[in-house]
Amino acid sequence: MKAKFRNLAAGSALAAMLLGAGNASAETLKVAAISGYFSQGFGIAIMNGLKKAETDFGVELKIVDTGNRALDYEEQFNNIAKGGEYDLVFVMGWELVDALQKSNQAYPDQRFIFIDGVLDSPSMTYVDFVEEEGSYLVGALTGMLAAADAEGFNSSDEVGFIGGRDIPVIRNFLMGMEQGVAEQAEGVSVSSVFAGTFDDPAKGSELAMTLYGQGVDVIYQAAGPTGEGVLQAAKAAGKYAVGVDIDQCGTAPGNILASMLKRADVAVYDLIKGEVEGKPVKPGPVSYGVAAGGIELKICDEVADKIPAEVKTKLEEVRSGIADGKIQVKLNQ
Amino acid sequence: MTFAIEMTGVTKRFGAVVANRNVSFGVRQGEIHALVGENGAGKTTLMNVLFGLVQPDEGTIRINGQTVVMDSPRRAIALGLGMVHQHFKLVPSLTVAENIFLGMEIVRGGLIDRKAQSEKTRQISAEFGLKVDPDRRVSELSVGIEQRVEILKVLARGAKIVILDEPTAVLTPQESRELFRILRRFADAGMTVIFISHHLSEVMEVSDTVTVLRDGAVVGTRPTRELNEDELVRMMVGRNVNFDRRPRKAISGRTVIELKEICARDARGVLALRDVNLTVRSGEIVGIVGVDGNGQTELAEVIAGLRAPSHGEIAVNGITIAESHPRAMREAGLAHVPADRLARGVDASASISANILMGRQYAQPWAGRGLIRWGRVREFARGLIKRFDIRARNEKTLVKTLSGGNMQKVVVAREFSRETPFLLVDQPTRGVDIGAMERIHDEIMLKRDQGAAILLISVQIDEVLALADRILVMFAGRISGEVDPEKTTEDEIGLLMAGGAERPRAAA
Amino acid sequence: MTLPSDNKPAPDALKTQGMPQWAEQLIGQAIAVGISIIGGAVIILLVGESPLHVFATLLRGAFGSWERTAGSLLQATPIIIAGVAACVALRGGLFNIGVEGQLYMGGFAAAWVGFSFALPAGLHVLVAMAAAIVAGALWIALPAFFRARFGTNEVVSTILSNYVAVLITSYLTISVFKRPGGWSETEPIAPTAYLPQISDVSRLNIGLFIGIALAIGLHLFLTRTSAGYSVSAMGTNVKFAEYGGVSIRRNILVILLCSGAVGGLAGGVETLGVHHRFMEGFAPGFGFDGVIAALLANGSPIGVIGTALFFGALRAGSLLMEVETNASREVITVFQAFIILCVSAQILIRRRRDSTQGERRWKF
Repeated sequence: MKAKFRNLAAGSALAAMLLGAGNASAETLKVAAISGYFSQGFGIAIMNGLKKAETDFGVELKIVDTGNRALDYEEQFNNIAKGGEYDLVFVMGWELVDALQKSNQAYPDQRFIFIDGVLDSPSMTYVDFVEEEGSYLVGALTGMLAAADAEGFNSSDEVGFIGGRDIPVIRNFLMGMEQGVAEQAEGVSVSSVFAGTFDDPAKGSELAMTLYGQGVDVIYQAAGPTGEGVLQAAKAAGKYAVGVDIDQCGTAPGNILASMLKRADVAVYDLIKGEVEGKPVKPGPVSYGVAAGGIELKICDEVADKIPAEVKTKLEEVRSGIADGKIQVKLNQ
Repeated sequence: MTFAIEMTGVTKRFGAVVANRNVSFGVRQGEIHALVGENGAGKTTLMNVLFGLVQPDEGTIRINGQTVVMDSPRRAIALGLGMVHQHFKLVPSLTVAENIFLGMEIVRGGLIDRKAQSEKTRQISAEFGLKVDPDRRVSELSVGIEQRVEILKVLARGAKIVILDEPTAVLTPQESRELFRILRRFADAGMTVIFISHHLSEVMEVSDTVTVLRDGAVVGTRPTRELNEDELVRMMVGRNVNFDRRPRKAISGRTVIELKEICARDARGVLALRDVNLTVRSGEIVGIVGVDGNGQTELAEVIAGLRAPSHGEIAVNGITIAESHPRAMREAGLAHVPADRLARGVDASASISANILMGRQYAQPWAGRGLIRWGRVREFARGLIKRFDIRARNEKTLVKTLSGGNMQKVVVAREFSRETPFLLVDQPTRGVDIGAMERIHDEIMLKRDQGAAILLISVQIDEVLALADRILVMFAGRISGEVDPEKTTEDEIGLLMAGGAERPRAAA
Repeated sequence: MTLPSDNKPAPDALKTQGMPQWAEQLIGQAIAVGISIIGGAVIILLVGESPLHVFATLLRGAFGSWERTAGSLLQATPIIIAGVAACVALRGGLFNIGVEGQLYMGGFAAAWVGFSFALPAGLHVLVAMAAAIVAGALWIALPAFFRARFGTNEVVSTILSNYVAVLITSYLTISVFKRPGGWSETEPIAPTAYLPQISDVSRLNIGLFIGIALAIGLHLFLTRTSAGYSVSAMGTNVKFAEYGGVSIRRNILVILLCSGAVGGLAGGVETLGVHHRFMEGFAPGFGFDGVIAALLANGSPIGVIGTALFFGALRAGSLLMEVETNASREVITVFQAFIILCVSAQILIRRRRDSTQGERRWKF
């Protein structure tokens, strides 16, 4: 009964498309994005990509903020998917996964693009940032600085890592960093710790102070809001930290060495561009690593002068090595 | 001649109720003008209109011939009016002088000049013959002196027209007489006094002119000397009232309730009852009189189980009550008409039947198996409405829509229909019109004749004189004396109420 | 014996007879909603949308189809139960502003029973609901005890307990019972602990009927039973109830515990009927909405069904409104704020009017 209705609706939509084809040669692409984080770092990056696509390709945008009520999510997805109105729907946020999967089952024709992660369902598209590649670069940079005993990096031969919780995706960050250190900076090791939470800046700060106290000069954090505390601690201790996901150089200018960027804006723009230019988005994971410009290590302007030229040169070699496949970043699960 | 105050065609409505109906009356300068009427006749509303506390719907006010819009008490004070409210608005922790100059302090060099305030207070009090000590704290004063402070407050603000709202309600007869002398002195000095009362003897004694209000309208304004009390009562209620002592049979009964050495503290922790002993026998009405605040409230609360005594015991039918709780007292056989019916005696937002149910909600036949049998409750309520002559449309009428007298009849109906051996009746006719008052008195007498033991607490001495078999007078938390209502006089009671028994009798 | 002075019913008795109290209140409520609609329209105009279009979408989003209606009912379900919880306290003259916290504790307790034990189908869901009830009651036990024993203001203590409950359940979820690899949520509960769904079109489950039954049950309790009579007398005039022999302290304790228990059940129903696990932020705001729904209904449990449905419809409708128009969901928050303002203004006005009437009756 329900299926019948849907067929009917699909039929009429088809008819409308056929009839409309005579009038307008190119339908405008309609894109929706749904998340609870559009005002926060990663969400802002997504918005930037969407806005750029809007300007460049004239796509029609619909932004839906999910808020924080679990009860609403399913309905919100269904409201978007039901009309079949949107060509692409970008989704960001792990709390939405359940609702997303249900909606995906109910509306299999709707193309959903889940940002930053791979789920079981084969009919969706996944933007998968190769965070281990970026973390390799972080390991290379911090390791080289520690090995070279550069100014401000001469306390010990240890570099630090603070993760949010000990979960696979955060392990990827750590493993990338460790490989980078091991391969590019002999004699340097990684001192790592997990905060156990993504939502406790105070705890992040406390753990960072401990590591700094042990002689670590630079800490790479992959810990969400907990990581904010790490960045603040760098400032308080007069040491260095490395930001993640988005450009965090401005959080504690002068004490943030670099930021490992996941260029969600690049990924979103790239996918929409492909769709417009006749390379439609297909189901399955799409990797955005260093090569595709989806992962980038940005050295902060405030500290760029303090990094020895040979380290910068070496880092660029490593980067291009990853990009053209000479360097393989592995996840030894 | 022009009036000091002239109100013309004043109408004030509260919702559908007309509190003042086209009221016109004038007050001459230099007279004591009594405003009388039953409770609910519209006296206080009219004075609130005059003092700018309430805005009239229609009508004009002239002060010394000038039409004014009395939009606030501030304006009234500026025009020379002063109002002494029934409930005093003094700060107990401040001195007399500080209270008088509160809000208009005499300031020198940025500080309050206490000396000047005391001096000024002394000066005003000498000028008007109101003796007070400016440096005493108000908390140390008696009620009568507190009232003087209130009057001084008004005078210090330059009042030439003084309004007193039921000033004698809290005073002993002696204090009242002293007040009247002061008021007379005001009038002689050319000031104008408006005096609200429903005590006719006072009105006859002190006023020059009387205006009678009934149902919100003026019945008439007459010189006092042309009137006698009977006429005044007729003007107030439209018929004669008989407050004669009720005829009665002799008392035969045994002791129903006995209080032994009861002591209790009031809400502030001050000892309010000191070694109170009393018994009430079956078929007897024991009256308790006293100026408000001498322990009657606490006595009633202790007997009702609402306040735990700090010492002593209560026995009903010879059995000592172990737990101080209303339910325990009720189960022991108490029916209770509380003093403050709106606060305690009724659920004003509920219907008459729901009010009648209170205290019976677990009892047969009104309830059974945890369920209320509303049909029986309503039927019962209908019977009571008829029997107690409650003026209401039906048993579903909300109590808050009833007049004060009918509200009280609901309380009396509920409690008197309990068929209990002991009745505690506290201020049964306060704020009740004369018709309802007589009806309630009839019921009390009926209960007596049926053999109930009745403790009657009242501030109205005439009520107690009419009903009681014995009268106990309370002063400062003690029973200061017992008198026989057949033989005593209001003067004797008044003396006891003022603590006379504890003082040498020489003055009496 | 008849007297001319008191020969007729009080004049305003006639007025109240002509316009029953509930009708007067209903009209008041309608005015509140009307003013809110106008206020909402102004804000919608400010964001450059057509109010008519937005409201039409809102209406369609709430009731446009059976699925959408079911969505509204789904949203209304926890608000009804939370509202009944608030009503229990309100009618006894008490405030339970801690429904939110009880809902979280109840939700967690139900989930815990759901994923920790293996029980037969019918029994499992009942035990889980019982756990929710107990958890809710336990969560209010301390404020209730302090209120009954020492007269501590229950408004403050129940509000504060909300935050503790949200954080405790969050801690338990993340640090103790987290499903490996999942978002901040526990293991799923066993299907034996699911509340049966009403239809497979929506997640609407028999929790709705539980809520309605609770509301009707509370109404019958208050109007038909001896104990209920004592409770409502406490609510309207506690001194009167005390005077009439009602044990105030004991009743305060029992009323607050019951209120908390129902609050816990609201969370349990949400967990067992909809989410089938406990998760962080599983029902933010439902407890508070329940309290507001109860206040809006003036403590009437039957009225709560109506006000909760209204709030549920607003919530559900706003989701479509957000997708189809440029008005954000926050418009609904503003809309609700308008309603709360209007209703509290009404309560104040009514109270003032009643108090002047009270004074008037006492003395002219």
